[in-house]
Amino acid sequence: MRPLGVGVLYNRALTELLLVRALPVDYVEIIPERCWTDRGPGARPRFVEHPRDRDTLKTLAQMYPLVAHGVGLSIASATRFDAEHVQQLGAWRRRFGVRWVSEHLAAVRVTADGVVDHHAGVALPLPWDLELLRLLVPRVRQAADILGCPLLLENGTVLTPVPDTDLTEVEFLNRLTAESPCRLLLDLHNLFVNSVNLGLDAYAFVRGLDLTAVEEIHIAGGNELDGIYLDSHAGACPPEVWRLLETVVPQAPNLRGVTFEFHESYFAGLGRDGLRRELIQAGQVWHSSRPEAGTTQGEIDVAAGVPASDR
Amino acid sequence: MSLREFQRAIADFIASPERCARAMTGFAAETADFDLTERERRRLKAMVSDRRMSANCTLFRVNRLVPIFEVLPLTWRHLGAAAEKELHEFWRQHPDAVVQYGEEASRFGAWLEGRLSAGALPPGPAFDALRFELAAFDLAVTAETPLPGSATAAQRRVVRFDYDHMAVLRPAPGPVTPRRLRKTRWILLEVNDGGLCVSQMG
Repeated sequence: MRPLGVGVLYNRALTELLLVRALPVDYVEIIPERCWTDRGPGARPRFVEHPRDRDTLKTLAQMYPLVAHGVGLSIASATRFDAEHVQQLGAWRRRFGVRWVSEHLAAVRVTADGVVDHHAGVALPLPWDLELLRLLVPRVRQAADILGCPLLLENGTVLTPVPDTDLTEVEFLNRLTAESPCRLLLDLHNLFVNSVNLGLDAYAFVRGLDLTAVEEIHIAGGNELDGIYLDSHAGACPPEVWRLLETVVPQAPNLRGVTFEFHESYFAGLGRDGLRRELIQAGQVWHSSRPEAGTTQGEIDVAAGVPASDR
Repeated sequence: MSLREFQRAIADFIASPERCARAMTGFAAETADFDLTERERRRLKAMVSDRRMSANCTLFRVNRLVPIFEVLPLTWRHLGAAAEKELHEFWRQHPDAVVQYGEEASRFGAWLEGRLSAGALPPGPAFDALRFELAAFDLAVTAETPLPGSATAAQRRVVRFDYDHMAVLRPAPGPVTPRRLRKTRWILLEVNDGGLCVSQMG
């Protein structure tokens, strides 16, 4: 499948800007779970659509290529694999022509007090063990079969890593992508967060990773809470994330897109101009190594009258 | 199912800073309920002892607060000093986290209504705000976008106000309590193609 270029993770603060094509983006990434209520396993119907969110997506799908970024699968939970959730993602992929589907390499659901789907409230630290690898490989295969496309999984952040694991995170990811149809969504801000909080060497991580498996990159900004740096999507990317992007993009031959994420509650601080600056800078990195792909961005820039100094 | 127990144990500790604190002096007692291997027990002990564990606990609480605060900001405002106490009591009674905004906000709303019925909370403008915000959220996610001028019953909600609705919906800065009305007022919430529209009935 051909690369797309630079995209933005959709939130409601973006609706008007996207509908008038005011942003230099080649695609829009959506969080499907924001468009339905999940009434839980066993409920019929289990997934209840939000009509107005669905209508917005229909409109956006006519204007931009869409990609999906799921947040509810919890594929690394030892309790069970939620095939119904994947079926719902697959149905939406077909319905809206979604180009690819990503999820988090995360466990957020546990069994507690007899409740199978107890939500942990946070993504739990994962043990990079062969036991987890054996759990994930068949799940990723099953997910890819249901979706009709490879599943991209995103590296996460952790504050209290699980010690004494069988593999390092990089070794784990390389084994997972070698042994299953799993592809990677490499979140560079998450890498940066772990480098700040844990002293992890982000460049060593990138050097060790099989970058041929990386098909999407996330970039974002964060902020501090009580001395901890958070992946809060709080605005502009820090300089270190740009440097990582400049390092990784030329080395990832199967990369299809770079997505900028921010939380809508920070839009006032970022502003339309600030958002455009992030997207344009990402576009410059993208085009420096892939001049043939992602042409929409240039067209939109011209149409929207972006000053030459912005490019 | 070793991993399953390990994940359950981590989740329990992250959800309870009190449990983390107790584990610092009595780890064996705090983990007796979990069927863990020796390796998992060592791992868990190292993680709970990590100074960053408190940030995990904080994030857990932030993630539980966000759905309530996003859906019910006016309710929270009008609860005033009682808000934090009610939230902690709600969490204590409902330790299972729900991150779907509407569901968690509805659960907290039902909790507040129960507290009102039980006499644990006095009547006040917070309950007008609660009814309004739950109705507005429900409309925002469930109503189809109508054609202009053709809203149906499914695209409308009627909300009762016992307090001055203008002061409830647009509270002035500072601790001002909206005036209680002599007669109940009914407010119509309606979806139109431009979003949610609020008007007074009668």
